[in-house]
Amino acid sequence: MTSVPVYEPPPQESPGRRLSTFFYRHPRVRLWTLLALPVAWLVLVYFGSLFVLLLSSLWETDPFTREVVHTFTLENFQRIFEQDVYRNVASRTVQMAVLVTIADVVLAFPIAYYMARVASPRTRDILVVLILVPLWANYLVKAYAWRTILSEGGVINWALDPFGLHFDGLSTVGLWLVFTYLWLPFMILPIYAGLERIPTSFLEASADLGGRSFTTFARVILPLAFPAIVAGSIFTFCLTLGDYIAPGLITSEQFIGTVIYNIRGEALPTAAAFSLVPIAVVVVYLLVARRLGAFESL
Amino acid sequence: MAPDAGAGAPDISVRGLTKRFGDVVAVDSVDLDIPAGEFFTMLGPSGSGKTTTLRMIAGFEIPDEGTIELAGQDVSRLPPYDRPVNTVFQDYALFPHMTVQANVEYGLMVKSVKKGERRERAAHALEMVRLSGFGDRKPSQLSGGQRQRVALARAIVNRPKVLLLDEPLGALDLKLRQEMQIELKSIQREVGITFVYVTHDQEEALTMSDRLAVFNNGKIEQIGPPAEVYEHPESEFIAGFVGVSNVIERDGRRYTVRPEKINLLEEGEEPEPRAHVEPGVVRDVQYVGPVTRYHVTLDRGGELQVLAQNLEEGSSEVLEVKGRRVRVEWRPGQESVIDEREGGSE
Amino acid sequence: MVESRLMRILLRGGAVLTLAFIYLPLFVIALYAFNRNVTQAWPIENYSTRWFSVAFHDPDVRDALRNSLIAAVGATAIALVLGTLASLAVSRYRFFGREVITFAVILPIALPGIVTGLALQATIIDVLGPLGIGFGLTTIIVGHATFCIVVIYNNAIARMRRTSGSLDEASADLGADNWQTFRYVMLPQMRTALLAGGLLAFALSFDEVIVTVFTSGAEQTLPIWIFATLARPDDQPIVNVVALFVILVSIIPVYIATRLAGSSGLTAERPKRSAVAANVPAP
Repeated sequence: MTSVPVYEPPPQESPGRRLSTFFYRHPRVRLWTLLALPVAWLVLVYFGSLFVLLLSSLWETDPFTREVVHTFTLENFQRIFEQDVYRNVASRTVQMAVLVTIADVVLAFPIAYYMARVASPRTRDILVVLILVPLWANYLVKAYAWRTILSEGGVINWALDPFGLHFDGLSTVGLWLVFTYLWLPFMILPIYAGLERIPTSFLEASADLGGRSFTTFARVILPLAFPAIVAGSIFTFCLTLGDYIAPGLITSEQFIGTVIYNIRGEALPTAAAFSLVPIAVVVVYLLVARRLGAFESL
Repeated sequence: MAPDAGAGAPDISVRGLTKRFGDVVAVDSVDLDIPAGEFFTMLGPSGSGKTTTLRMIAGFEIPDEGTIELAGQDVSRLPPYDRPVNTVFQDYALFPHMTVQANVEYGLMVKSVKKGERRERAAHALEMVRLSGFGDRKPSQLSGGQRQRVALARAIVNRPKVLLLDEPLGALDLKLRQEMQIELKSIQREVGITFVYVTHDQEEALTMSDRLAVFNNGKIEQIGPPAEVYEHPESEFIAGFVGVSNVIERDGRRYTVRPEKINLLEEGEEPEPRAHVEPGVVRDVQYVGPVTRYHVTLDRGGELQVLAQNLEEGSSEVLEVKGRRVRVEWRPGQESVIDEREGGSE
Repeated sequence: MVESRLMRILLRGGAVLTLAFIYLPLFVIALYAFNRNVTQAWPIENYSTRWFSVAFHDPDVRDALRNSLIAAVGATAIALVLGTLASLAVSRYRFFGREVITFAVILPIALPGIVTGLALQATIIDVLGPLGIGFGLTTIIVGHATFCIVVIYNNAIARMRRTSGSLDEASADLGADNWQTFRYVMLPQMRTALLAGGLLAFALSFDEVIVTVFTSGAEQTLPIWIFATLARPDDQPIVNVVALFVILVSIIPVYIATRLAGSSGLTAERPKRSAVAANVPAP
């Protein structure tokens, strides 16, 4: 290289470049220019709506006209706390959420373990896609498919019939099965990710120290995978809590979601008050999950 | 800006440069003058402020206080794209979605340099870093050393006034690093650009620099040519960081002597006239191939490391010295007085 | 390998069974779409494709499909803009309230859908109604866009985390201003992530029923049409066909998106509600 390096002056100022330079000198302005639209949208549309919902829960419903009257009252909260119907529905829903979570852990663990520690990398990738893709298949359609499968003339009873058995699928037990099905992938993926992060050397160390397979599992794998299980349970638990479509399709039993859905037309304030119940439960659950280290393993 | 604005003035002139991150003062009132064409190194441990200083010169950080002048122009508030400097990044920061050719042409492309000229200058630059013919490859298809050279070509092709290098050899293995040190130095001589080089490797700093500044706690502790900084460290920190901390206290003053300047006297051997001589015991011996390192505990207090070339001795002979009584000597003027003020720092 | 041979065989068997369980309803619904009879008895006795043509010519189905497509495209477009802007801010800046942004983006999909739906319904009636805006496609799009932001956001953030911030600096250093850096460096880096996020947002919107029930009023999207038509036993054969169609329309973009995001991104960019907790910040 023979030429003596000479610095070339920058090209002429353009409006775009002037704006860039302005942003460079005022990084806060640049930041808020980026944030303005998304923040405005979320605040106006979403948090605004949640605020309206909260307000609605404090309004009265005229007992005769069923019109919402804009006067503040705590009557709605009084109602959902005092009337047995609401309490029973809430506790039934929480029980269902717990049972669904347990079933999903039991079903998810073996396949997640297989993916993380036994399958070849290629099989593993295929399995991840195979589990991920049905997650996105329309959830209403999946619930509807189960209604068809569980009904009197459906696949299940056709299969049980030769053994002289019968299963009343359109029941709370059936709903438990459907919920377990619907949220299963949400449990498999976090557990898989959690197990995959355990270094093989841990397990080898345990085996090396004379740990039997079961000991290794109970003393090493399970504690390490526990936060991932809690992470998965956030989905299975919270999604069960607020659902109204699957219960409506499978059973006539009432759950939090179906009650809110059914009364929203004639008693919006009560529905609004009742909808704060799943919010409260979810918040408590998330706080506990955070304590258990679930967020780090997501 | 005229190409030779303020001829004779330093290329880079930094005054009172300060940068805080929260409560941490990363760079604390730094002054620097770097003349045109110099290979200048900023040396220091991590967190000493050298990289932050470099990033402020490049324009990636805005100083809280102080000014930066490049060739007489105050650039303190100019964005990176308006500064006549280019940077070679520690992780190279090659654009992974572009070919080597497109990477090297990038600076010219965004400045709307015509395509023909772009081609020609990129080819020149690649030739200079010995990568002609690699233009169609993607960065992912190159070795670490090759990527490093692409990063260099991509910067130099813009003909900056100053080239900033942020630990550019940090990711390379020792052998490649030593080759690249020589190559970088020769490229710098060829293009005549001012190089500002950041490293934590004292050997690298000593080998390559015309002058170096040693950073500690956001401040420059000493600035000067390599030999001066090495042989006459002005503080205990420098004595330890640039070389081995060989500090003893005599008559209330603290001194340091470089281990290779000290001679071990054998039994009955006459010391040189006017040499400083002290008796002691060899506490430990480390045989390191071409040299041997002796740790000598002195009778008057303190310990010194002594480095001796293994001209004739084998490992078994030198190891036998352990535990023996010896005398150490060095010529007057080899020792440096360490400023007492710095004695307690660290 | 620590696991014993027997253990591994058992695990493989368990995995196969679980997969069968996951796919059983999808296959059943696919088969029913070809059921010639109106009754839903198993086993299916006569197969036919006649209901495909009936469904295709059903005016309500066509309207619903048109609405679904408009809503999905509209919501995806809005979510792309908002999600990308938010991800740029959060990934390139440290600022007070950064975690709040992440939390706010995630919340619409983290809270039970019925809460979001009810809140939007209350707002449409009490706030938008008096302003002259009623239930319709606009309210559907606004609702969908709100919970689609997180999908774009998560994909973009995950990609930004994997690309070194020094690329932006290198670009500026070489003379590019913000726009040039965005166009030549950031956008090409983010392109596949945004495309994947966009496809997921499209599928999410196209499938949504829980919130849409509360925001749609008289307008019907395909899932809403299915939901409303389930009550009419005579129309079950058409529902079956539409159900199969809806599954395919959402599964195909998702499959492409998983390929685009790369298999390493599959777990990091777990979509839909899994994306939720992936970024639930410490309050």
